[in-house]
Amino acid sequence: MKAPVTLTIDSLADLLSAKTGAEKDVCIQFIREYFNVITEGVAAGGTVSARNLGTFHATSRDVTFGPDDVFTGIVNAPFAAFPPIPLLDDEDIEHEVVAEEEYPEQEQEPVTVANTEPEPESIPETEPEMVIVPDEPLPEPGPATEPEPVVNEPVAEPVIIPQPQSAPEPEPEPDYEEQPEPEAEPEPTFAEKRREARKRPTRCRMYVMMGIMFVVGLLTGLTLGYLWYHKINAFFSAPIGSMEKNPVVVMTDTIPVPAETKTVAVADTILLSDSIQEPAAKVEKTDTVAAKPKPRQPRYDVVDKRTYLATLARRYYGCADYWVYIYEANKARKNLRHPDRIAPGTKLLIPYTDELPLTGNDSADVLAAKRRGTAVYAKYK
Amino acid sequence: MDNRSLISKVAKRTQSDVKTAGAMADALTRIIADSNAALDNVAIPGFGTFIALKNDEHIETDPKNGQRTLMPPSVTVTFRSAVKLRKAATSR
Repeated sequence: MKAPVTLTIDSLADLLSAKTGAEKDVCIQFIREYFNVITEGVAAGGTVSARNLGTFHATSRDVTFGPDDVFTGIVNAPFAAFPPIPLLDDEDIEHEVVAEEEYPEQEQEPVTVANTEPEPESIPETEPEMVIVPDEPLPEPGPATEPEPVVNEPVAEPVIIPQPQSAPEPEPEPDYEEQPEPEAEPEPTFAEKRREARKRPTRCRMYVMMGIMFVVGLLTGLTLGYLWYHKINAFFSAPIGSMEKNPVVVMTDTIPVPAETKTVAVADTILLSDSIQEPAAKVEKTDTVAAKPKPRQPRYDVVDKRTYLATLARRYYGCADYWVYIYEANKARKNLRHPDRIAPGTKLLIPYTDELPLTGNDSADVLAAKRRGTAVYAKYK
Repeated sequence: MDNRSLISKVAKRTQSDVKTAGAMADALTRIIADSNAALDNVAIPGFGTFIALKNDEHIETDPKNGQRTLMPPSVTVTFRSAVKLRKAATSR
Protein backbone atom coordinates (compact mmCIF):
# COMPACT_ATOMS: atom_id res chain seq x y z
CA MET A 1 0.00 0.00 0.00
CA LYS A 2 1.55 3.25 -1.11
CA ALA A 3 2.12 6.09 1.32
CA PRO A 4 -0.39 8.94 0.96
CA VAL A 5 0.93 11.88 -0.94
CA THR A 6 -0.18 15.39 -0.10
CA LEU A 7 -0.61 17.73 -3.02
CA THR A 8 0.22 21.35 -2.37
CA ILE A 9 -1.13 24.40 -4.12
CA ASP A 10 1.90 24.32 -6.39
CA SER A 11 1.12 20.79 -7.57
CA LEU A 12 -2.51 21.70 -7.99
CA ALA A 13 -1.59 24.68 -10.08
CA ASP A 14 0.58 22.50 -12.31
CA LEU A 15 -2.24 20.07 -12.85
CA LEU A 16 -4.74 22.86 -13.43
CA SER A 17 -2.45 24.56 -15.86
CA ALA A 18 -1.97 21.31 -17.76
CA LYS A 19 -5.68 20.76 -17.89
CA THR A 20 -6.90 24.24 -18.82
CA GLY A 21 -3.91 25.58 -20.66
CA ALA A 22 -3.67 28.64 -18.43
CA GLU A 23 -0.44 29.90 -16.95
CA LYS A 24 0.72 28.54 -13.65
CA ASP A 25 0.65 31.94 -11.89
CA VAL A 26 -2.91 32.50 -13.03
CA CYS A 27 -3.85 29.07 -11.76
CA ILE A 28 -2.23 29.73 -8.38
CA GLN A 29 -4.07 33.02 -8.09
CA PHE A 30 -7.34 31.39 -9.12
CA ILE A 31 -6.99 28.61 -6.56
CA ARG A 32 -6.23 31.13 -3.79
CA GLU A 33 -9.12 33.40 -4.69
CA TYR A 34 -11.47 30.46 -5.05
CA PHE A 35 -10.87 29.25 -1.54
CA ASN A 36 -10.68 32.80 -0.13
CA VAL A 37 -14.18 33.46 -1.41
CA ILE A 38 -15.34 30.23 0.16
CA THR A 39 -13.70 31.29 3.44
CA GLU A 40 -15.43 34.66 3.33
CA GLY A 41 -18.71 33.03 2.47
CA VAL A 42 -18.44 30.63 5.39
CA ALA A 43 -17.46 33.46 7.72
CA ALA A 44 -20.38 35.61 6.58
CA GLY A 45 -23.25 33.33 5.77
CA GLY A 46 -22.28 30.05 7.37
CA THR A 47 -22.85 27.78 4.31
CA VAL A 48 -21.16 27.73 0.90
CA SER A 49 -21.93 25.15 -1.76
CA ALA A 50 -19.47 24.59 -4.59
CA ARG A 51 -20.59 22.57 -7.60
CA ASN A 52 -18.92 19.19 -8.09
CA LEU A 53 -17.10 19.69 -4.77
CA GLY A 54 -19.46 19.93 -1.82
CA THR A 55 -20.92 22.13 0.88
CA PHE A 56 -18.93 23.92 3.53
CA HIS A 57 -20.84 24.73 6.67
CA ALA A 58 -19.66 26.66 9.73
CA THR A 59 -20.57 25.35 13.19
CA SER A 60 -19.82 26.82 16.57
CA ARG A 61 -16.41 25.19 16.71
CA ASP A 62 -15.37 24.10 13.24
CA VAL A 63 -16.17 24.06 9.54
CA THR A 64 -17.72 20.88 8.21
CA PHE A 65 -17.55 19.60 4.65
CA GLY A 66 -20.16 17.47 2.95
CA PRO A 67 -19.03 16.14 -0.43
CA ASP A 68 -21.21 16.45 -3.48
CA ASP A 69 -22.69 13.37 -5.19
CA VAL A 70 -20.58 14.03 -8.26
CA PHE A 71 -17.47 14.40 -6.12
CA THR A 72 -18.22 11.18 -4.24
CA GLY A 73 -18.86 9.34 -7.49
CA ILE A 74 -15.53 10.45 -8.97
CA VAL A 75 -13.66 9.51 -5.80
CA ASN A 76 -15.22 6.01 -5.70
CA ALA A 77 -15.08 5.44 -9.46
CA PRO A 78 -12.37 2.74 -9.18
CA PHE A 79 -14.72 0.63 -7.03
CA ALA A 80 -17.89 1.31 -8.98
CA ALA A 81 -17.67 -2.08 -10.66
CA PHE A 82 -18.00 -3.90 -7.34
CA PRO A 83 -21.56 -3.84 -6.10
CA PRO A 84 -22.54 -5.18 -2.68
CA ILE A 85 -22.99 -8.95 -2.75
CA PRO A 86 -25.39 -10.70 -0.38
CA LEU A 87 -23.78 -13.78 1.18
CA LEU A 88 -25.40 -17.09 1.93
CA ASP A 89 -25.55 -18.28 5.51
CA ASP A 90 -22.99 -21.04 5.05
CA GLU A 91 -20.79 -19.12 2.69
CA ASP A 92 -17.35 -18.29 3.91
CA ILE A 93 -15.03 -16.25 1.76
CA GLU A 94 -11.93 -16.76 3.89
CA HIS A 95 -12.26 -20.53 3.73
CA GLU A 96 -12.35 -20.53 -0.05
CA VAL A 97 -9.20 -18.49 -0.23
CA VAL A 98 -7.35 -20.91 2.07
CA ALA A 99 -8.51 -24.03 0.12
CA GLU A 100 -7.25 -22.61 -3.15
CA GLU A 101 -3.87 -22.00 -1.63
CA GLU A 102 -3.59 -25.59 -0.44
CA TYR A 103 -4.39 -27.17 -3.78
CA PRO A 104 -1.03 -26.65 -5.49
CA GLU A 105 0.85 -28.22 -2.57
CA GLN A 106 -1.23 -31.37 -2.68
CA GLU A 107 -0.91 -31.64 -6.43
CA GLN A 108 2.85 -31.62 -6.19
CA GLU A 109 2.92 -34.79 -4.09
CA PRO A 110 1.87 -37.21 -6.83
CA VAL A 111 4.29 -35.52 -9.17
CA THR A 112 7.29 -36.25 -6.99
CA VAL A 113 6.01 -39.64 -5.88
CA ALA A 114 5.45 -41.00 -9.39
CA ASN A 115 9.11 -40.38 -10.32
CA THR A 116 8.05 -39.59 -13.85
CA GLU A 117 8.33 -35.96 -13.28
CA PRO A 118 7.31 -34.48 -16.58
CA GLU A 119 4.30 -36.67 -17.08
CA PRO A 120 2.57 -36.20 -13.75
CA GLU A 121 3.28 -32.55 -13.81
CA SER A 122 1.40 -32.18 -17.03
CA ILE A 123 -1.62 -34.22 -15.91
CA PRO A 124 -1.53 -34.48 -12.14
CA GLU A 125 -4.45 -36.81 -11.60
CA THR A 126 -4.96 -39.04 -14.58
CA GLU A 127 -1.58 -39.28 -16.31
CA PRO A 128 0.37 -41.01 -13.56
CA GLU A 129 -1.98 -43.92 -13.86
CA MET A 130 -1.76 -43.94 -17.60
CA VAL A 131 2.01 -43.67 -17.73
CA ILE A 132 3.08 -45.80 -14.85
CA VAL A 133 0.93 -48.85 -15.46
CA PRO A 134 2.62 -50.17 -18.64
CA ASP A 135 6.12 -49.37 -17.46
CA GLU A 136 6.30 -50.12 -13.87
CA PRO A 137 4.70 -53.56 -13.56
CA LEU A 138 7.89 -55.14 -14.99
CA PRO A 139 10.42 -53.62 -12.62
CA GLU A 140 8.07 -53.38 -9.72
CA PRO A 141 8.17 -57.01 -8.59
CA GLY A 142 11.88 -56.48 -8.02
CA PRO A 143 13.14 -55.65 -4.57
CA ALA A 144 14.59 -52.42 -5.82
CA THR A 145 11.19 -51.26 -6.55
CA GLU A 146 9.98 -51.99 -3.10
CA PRO A 147 10.31 -48.45 -2.00
CA GLU A 148 8.80 -47.40 -5.26
CA PRO A 149 5.73 -49.50 -4.79
CA VAL A 150 4.92 -47.10 -2.07
CA VAL A 151 4.98 -44.52 -4.76
CA ASN A 152 3.92 -46.82 -7.58
CA GLU A 153 1.21 -48.40 -5.65
CA PRO A 154 -1.32 -47.02 -8.01
CA VAL A 155 0.50 -48.84 -10.82
CA ALA A 156 0.30 -52.36 -9.30
CA GLU A 157 -3.22 -53.00 -10.03
CA PRO A 158 -4.13 -55.70 -7.62
CA VAL A 159 -2.56 -54.04 -4.63
CA ILE A 160 -1.15 -50.65 -5.32
CA ILE A 161 -3.55 -49.00 -7.63
CA PRO A 162 -6.35 -48.35 -5.20
CA GLN A 163 -3.99 -46.81 -2.66
CA PRO A 164 -2.30 -44.26 -4.86
CA GLN A 165 -5.53 -43.59 -6.59
CA SER A 166 -6.90 -42.69 -3.29
CA ALA A 167 -3.74 -40.80 -2.44
CA PRO A 168 -3.77 -38.08 -5.06
CA GLU A 169 -7.44 -37.89 -5.72
CA PRO A 170 -9.14 -38.59 -2.46
CA GLU A 171 -6.61 -36.59 -0.51
CA PRO A 172 -7.82 -33.27 -1.72
CA GLU A 173 -11.42 -34.37 -1.72
CA PRO A 174 -11.65 -35.51 1.87
CA ASP A 175 -9.71 -32.48 2.93
CA TYR A 176 -11.95 -30.32 0.89
CA GLU A 177 -14.90 -32.08 2.32
CA GLU A 178 -13.57 -32.00 5.83
CA GLN A 179 -12.73 -28.37 5.77
CA PRO A 180 -16.25 -27.05 5.41
CA GLU A 181 -17.54 -29.43 8.06
CA PRO A 182 -15.51 -28.21 10.99
CA GLU A 183 -15.91 -24.66 9.86
CA ALA A 184 -19.64 -25.00 9.49
CA GLU A 185 -20.02 -26.38 12.99
CA PRO A 186 -18.72 -23.45 15.00
CA GLU A 187 -20.60 -20.95 12.92
CA PRO A 188 -24.13 -20.77 14.08
CA THR A 189 -26.52 -18.46 12.37
CA PHE A 190 -26.91 -14.91 13.42
CA ALA A 191 -30.21 -15.59 15.12
CA GLU A 192 -28.72 -18.47 17.13
CA LYS A 193 -25.80 -16.34 18.22
CA ARG A 194 -28.16 -13.66 19.40
CA ARG A 195 -30.25 -16.16 21.34
CA GLU A 196 -27.19 -17.58 23.06
CA ALA A 197 -25.93 -14.12 23.93
CA ARG A 198 -29.24 -13.28 25.54
CA LYS A 199 -29.22 -16.45 27.64
CA ARG A 200 -25.77 -15.79 29.01
CA PRO A 201 -25.95 -13.73 32.19
CA THR A 202 -24.06 -10.53 31.81
CA ARG A 203 -21.83 -8.96 34.35
CA CYS A 204 -24.07 -5.95 34.49
CA ARG A 205 -27.02 -8.07 35.54
CA MET A 206 -24.98 -9.69 38.32
CA TYR A 207 -23.93 -6.34 39.70
CA VAL A 208 -27.52 -5.11 39.58
CA MET A 209 -28.73 -8.18 41.48
CA MET A 210 -26.02 -7.75 44.07
CA GLY A 211 -26.95 -4.11 44.50
CA ILE A 212 -30.63 -4.94 44.95
CA MET A 213 -29.87 -7.62 47.52
CA PHE A 214 -27.65 -5.22 49.45
CA VAL A 215 -30.34 -2.54 49.54
CA VAL A 216 -32.98 -5.04 50.65
CA GLY A 217 -30.72 -6.34 53.41
CA LEU A 218 -29.92 -2.82 54.54
CA LEU A 219 -33.59 -1.83 54.74
CA THR A 220 -34.46 -4.99 56.61
CA GLY A 221 -31.70 -4.40 59.11
CA LEU A 222 -32.72 -0.80 59.66
CA THR A 223 -36.35 -1.78 60.18
CA LEU A 224 -35.50 -4.47 62.69
CA GLY A 225 -33.15 -2.14 64.50
CA TYR A 226 -35.78 0.56 64.67
CA LEU A 227 -38.41 -1.80 66.06
CA TRP A 228 -35.98 -3.30 68.56
CA TYR A 229 -34.88 0.10 69.74
CA HIS A 230 -38.41 1.31 70.24
CA LYS A 231 -39.40 -1.86 72.03
CA ILE A 232 -36.53 -1.44 74.45
CA ASN A 233 -37.36 2.21 74.91
CA ALA A 234 -41.01 1.42 75.55
CA PHE A 235 -39.98 -1.24 78.03
CA PHE A 236 -38.03 1.21 80.10
CA SER A 237 -40.45 4.07 79.77
CA ALA A 238 -43.59 2.16 80.71
CA PRO A 239 -45.31 3.50 83.88
CA ILE A 240 -45.75 1.50 87.10
CA GLY A 241 -48.25 -1.34 86.85
CA SER A 242 -48.13 -1.72 83.12
CA MET A 243 -45.22 -4.13 83.25
CA GLU A 244 -46.93 -7.25 84.42
CA LYS A 245 -44.27 -9.63 83.33
CA ASN A 246 -41.35 -7.69 84.67
CA PRO A 247 -42.50 -5.84 87.67
CA VAL A 248 -40.32 -2.95 88.62
CA VAL A 249 -39.81 -2.15 92.25
CA VAL A 250 -40.53 1.52 92.65
CA MET A 251 -40.04 3.63 95.69
CA THR A 252 -43.43 4.77 96.98
CA ASP A 253 -43.90 8.27 98.13
CA THR A 254 -46.66 7.87 100.72
CA ILE A 255 -45.71 6.46 104.09
CA PRO A 256 -48.41 3.97 105.02
CA VAL A 257 -49.84 4.60 108.45
CA PRO A 258 -51.06 1.35 109.96
CA ALA A 259 -54.44 1.48 111.65
CA GLU A 260 -53.05 -0.06 114.79
CA THR A 261 -50.88 2.89 115.47
CA LYS A 262 -53.88 5.10 115.10
CA THR A 263 -55.80 3.25 117.77
CA VAL A 264 -52.87 3.34 120.11
CA ALA A 265 -52.63 7.02 119.74
CA VAL A 266 -56.35 7.41 120.46
CA ALA A 267 -56.10 5.31 123.59
CA ASP A 268 -53.34 7.47 124.93
CA THR A 269 -55.30 10.63 124.46
CA ILE A 270 -58.39 9.26 126.10
CA LEU A 271 -56.54 8.40 129.26
CA LEU A 272 -54.97 11.74 129.49
CA SER A 273 -58.03 13.85 128.84
CA ASP A 274 -60.81 14.69 131.27
CA SER A 275 -63.84 15.05 129.08
CA ILE A 276 -65.48 12.15 127.42
CA GLN A 277 -65.95 13.94 124.24
CA GLU A 278 -62.35 14.84 123.98
CA PRO A 279 -61.15 11.39 123.22
CA ALA A 280 -63.73 11.16 120.52
CA ALA A 281 -62.70 14.48 119.24
CA LYS A 282 -59.19 13.48 119.71
CA VAL A 283 -59.91 10.25 118.01
CA GLU A 284 -61.27 12.20 115.16
CA LYS A 285 -58.36 14.47 115.29
CA THR A 286 -55.97 11.62 115.36
CA ASP A 287 -57.89 10.04 112.54
CA THR A 288 -57.68 13.19 110.53
CA VAL A 289 -54.09 13.58 111.52
CA ALA A 290 -53.45 9.97 110.50
CA ALA A 291 -55.26 10.52 107.17
CA LYS A 292 -52.92 13.35 106.30
CA PRO A 293 -49.62 12.16 105.12
CA LYS A 294 -46.91 12.67 107.56
CA PRO A 295 -44.80 15.65 106.92
CA ARG A 296 -42.04 14.28 104.87
CA GLN A 297 -38.76 15.75 104.04
CA PRO A 298 -38.15 16.79 100.50
CA ARG A 299 -35.91 14.51 98.59
CA TYR A 300 -33.12 15.55 96.31
CA ASP A 301 -30.89 14.03 93.79
CA VAL A 302 -27.88 15.24 91.86
CA VAL A 303 -27.45 15.47 88.13
CA ASP A 304 -24.16 14.18 86.80
CA LYS A 305 -22.69 12.99 83.52
CA ARG A 306 -24.66 9.73 83.55
CA THR A 307 -27.73 10.91 85.43
CA TYR A 308 -30.07 13.37 83.81
CA LEU A 309 -33.76 14.23 84.09
CA ALA A 310 -35.06 11.17 82.28
CA THR A 311 -32.87 8.90 84.34
CA LEU A 312 -34.14 10.42 87.56
CA ALA A 313 -37.72 10.14 86.38
CA ARG A 314 -37.26 6.50 85.50
CA ARG A 315 -35.60 5.89 88.85
CA TYR A 316 -38.25 7.57 91.00
CA TYR A 317 -41.42 7.27 88.92
CA GLY A 318 -40.71 4.33 86.71
CA CYS A 319 -41.33 6.37 83.59
CA ALA A 320 -38.73 8.47 81.84
CA ASP A 321 -41.36 10.77 80.33
CA TYR A 322 -42.16 12.18 83.77
CA TRP A 323 -38.90 14.14 83.69
CA VAL A 324 -40.91 17.25 82.88
CA TYR A 325 -42.37 17.29 86.39
CA ILE A 326 -38.92 17.25 87.95
CA TYR A 327 -37.94 20.05 85.56
CA GLU A 328 -40.99 22.16 86.43
CA ALA A 329 -40.44 21.64 90.17
CA ASN A 330 -36.90 22.97 89.90
CA LYS A 331 -37.24 25.46 87.11
CA ALA A 332 -37.87 28.46 89.31
CA ARG A 333 -35.69 27.57 92.24
CA LYS A 334 -32.70 26.55 90.20
CA ASN A 335 -33.32 28.90 87.30
CA LEU A 336 -33.22 26.04 84.83
CA ARG A 337 -33.36 26.74 81.13
CA HIS A 338 -32.92 24.05 78.51
CA PRO A 339 -33.76 20.67 80.07
CA ASP A 340 -30.83 18.95 78.30
CA ARG A 341 -28.32 21.51 79.46
CA ILE A 342 -28.40 21.18 83.21
CA ALA A 343 -24.93 21.43 84.63
CA PRO A 344 -23.56 18.28 86.26
CA GLY A 345 -23.64 18.56 90.05
CA THR A 346 -26.95 20.39 90.16
CA LYS A 347 -29.09 19.25 93.07
CA LEU A 348 -32.69 18.84 92.05
CA LEU A 349 -35.83 18.46 94.12
CA ILE A 350 -37.64 15.26 93.28
CA PRO A 351 -41.40 15.66 93.90
CA TYR A 352 -43.29 12.73 95.30
CA THR A 353 -45.59 10.81 93.06
CA ASP A 354 -48.75 12.00 94.78
CA GLU A 355 -47.65 15.55 94.11
CA LEU A 356 -47.67 14.92 90.39
CA PRO A 357 -50.81 15.64 88.35
CA LEU A 358 -51.49 12.02 87.51
CA THR A 359 -54.97 10.71 86.75
CA GLY A 360 -54.26 7.06 87.26
CA ASN A 361 -54.61 6.24 83.57
CA ASP A 362 -51.06 5.31 82.67
CA SER A 363 -51.31 5.89 78.96
CA ALA A 364 -53.06 9.22 79.39
CA ASP A 365 -50.53 10.33 82.02
CA VAL A 366 -47.65 9.42 79.80
CA LEU A 367 -49.20 11.24 76.89
CA ALA A 368 -49.80 14.33 79.02
CA ALA A 369 -46.21 14.25 80.27
CA LYS A 370 -44.90 13.96 76.72
CA ARG A 371 -46.96 16.94 75.64
CA ARG A 372 -45.58 18.97 78.49
CA GLY A 373 -42.10 17.97 77.53
CA THR A 374 -42.70 18.94 73.92
CA ALA A 375 -43.96 22.34 75.05
CA VAL A 376 -40.84 22.83 77.15
CA TYR A 377 -38.55 22.01 74.22
CA ALA A 378 -40.58 24.27 71.95
CA LYS A 379 -39.64 27.26 74.07
CA TYR A 380 -35.97 26.73 73.37
CA LYS A 381 -36.10 26.10 69.64
CA MET B 1 -23.76 31.33 -0.85
CA ASP B 2 -24.53 29.17 -3.88
CA ASN B 3 -22.18 28.13 -6.66
CA ARG B 4 -23.27 30.90 -9.01
CA SER B 5 -22.39 33.71 -6.63
CA LEU B 6 -19.17 31.92 -5.73
CA ILE B 7 -18.06 31.76 -9.36
CA SER B 8 -19.08 35.34 -10.05
CA LYS B 9 -17.06 36.61 -7.09
CA VAL B 10 -14.05 34.56 -8.08
CA ALA B 11 -14.35 35.83 -11.64
CA LYS B 12 -14.41 39.43 -10.39
CA ARG B 13 -11.34 38.97 -8.28
CA THR B 14 -9.38 37.16 -10.95
CA GLN B 15 -10.54 39.66 -13.55
CA SER B 16 -11.90 37.01 -15.85
CA ASP B 17 -15.29 36.16 -17.20
CA VAL B 18 -17.76 33.90 -15.45
CA LYS B 19 -17.54 31.17 -18.07
CA THR B 20 -13.77 30.88 -17.80
CA ALA B 21 -13.93 30.96 -14.01
CA GLY B 22 -16.59 28.25 -14.05
CA ALA B 23 -14.52 26.02 -16.31
CA MET B 24 -11.45 26.49 -14.15
CA ALA B 25 -13.49 25.77 -11.03
CA ASP B 26 -14.81 22.56 -12.57
CA ALA B 27 -11.31 21.53 -13.55
CA LEU B 28 -10.02 22.30 -10.07
CA THR B 29 -12.71 20.24 -8.37
CA ARG B 30 -12.07 17.42 -10.81
CA ILE B 31 -8.35 17.46 -9.98
CA ILE B 32 -9.10 17.36 -6.26
CA ALA B 33 -11.52 14.45 -6.76
CA ASP B 34 -9.04 12.51 -8.91
CA SER B 35 -6.30 13.06 -6.35
CA ASN B 36 -8.51 11.80 -3.56
CA ALA B 37 -9.52 8.81 -5.69
CA ALA B 38 -5.83 7.97 -5.89
CA LEU B 39 -5.75 8.22 -2.08
CA ASP B 40 -3.71 11.42 -2.18
CA ASN B 41 -4.44 14.31 0.13
CA VAL B 42 -4.89 17.87 -1.09
CA ALA B 43 -3.71 20.69 1.16
CA ILE B 44 -4.81 24.30 0.57
CA PRO B 45 -2.83 26.72 2.77
CA GLY B 46 -5.06 28.83 4.98
CA PHE B 47 -8.11 26.76 4.09
CA GLY B 48 -7.69 23.11 4.96
CA THR B 49 -6.82 19.64 3.77
CA PHE B 50 -8.93 17.14 1.87
CA ILE B 51 -7.93 13.76 3.25
CA ALA B 52 -8.80 10.52 1.47
CA LEU B 53 -9.36 7.42 3.59
CA LYS B 54 -9.86 4.00 2.09
CA ASN B 55 -12.42 1.70 3.68
CA ASP B 56 -11.54 -1.91 2.93
CA GLU B 57 -14.10 -4.43 1.83
CA HIS B 58 -16.03 -5.84 4.75
CA ILE B 59 -19.05 -7.90 5.59
CA GLU B 60 -22.07 -6.13 6.99
CA THR B 61 -24.85 -7.91 8.82
CA ASP B 62 -28.41 -6.65 8.77
CA PRO B 63 -29.57 -6.74 12.42
CA LYS B 64 -33.18 -7.32 11.42
CA ASN B 65 -32.81 -10.50 9.43
CA GLY B 66 -29.15 -11.39 9.86
CA GLN B 67 -28.44 -11.13 6.16
CA ARG B 68 -24.74 -10.80 5.49
CA THR B 69 -23.57 -8.61 2.62
CA LEU B 70 -20.07 -8.21 1.22
CA MET B 71 -19.51 -4.47 0.88
CA PRO B 72 -16.94 -3.37 -1.68
CA PRO B 73 -14.06 -1.06 -0.75
CA SER B 74 -14.73 2.65 -0.81
CA VAL B 75 -12.97 5.96 -0.31
CA THR B 76 -14.16 8.57 2.14
CA VAL B 77 -13.00 12.16 1.88
CA THR B 78 -12.77 14.12 5.11
CA PHE B 79 -11.92 17.76 5.46
CA ARG B 80 -9.64 19.13 8.14
CA SER B 81 -10.01 22.89 8.35
CA ALA B 82 -7.05 25.21 8.85
CA VAL B 83 -6.81 27.52 11.83
CA LYS B 84 -7.40 30.59 9.70
CA LEU B 85 -10.65 29.23 8.29
CA ARG B 86 -11.82 28.04 11.69
CA LYS B 87 -11.16 31.39 13.30
CA ALA B 88 -12.89 33.22 10.46
CA ALA B 89 -15.92 30.98 10.71
CA THR B 90 -16.25 30.95 14.50
CA SER B 91 -15.59 34.63 15.02
CA ARG B 92 -18.81 35.69 13.29
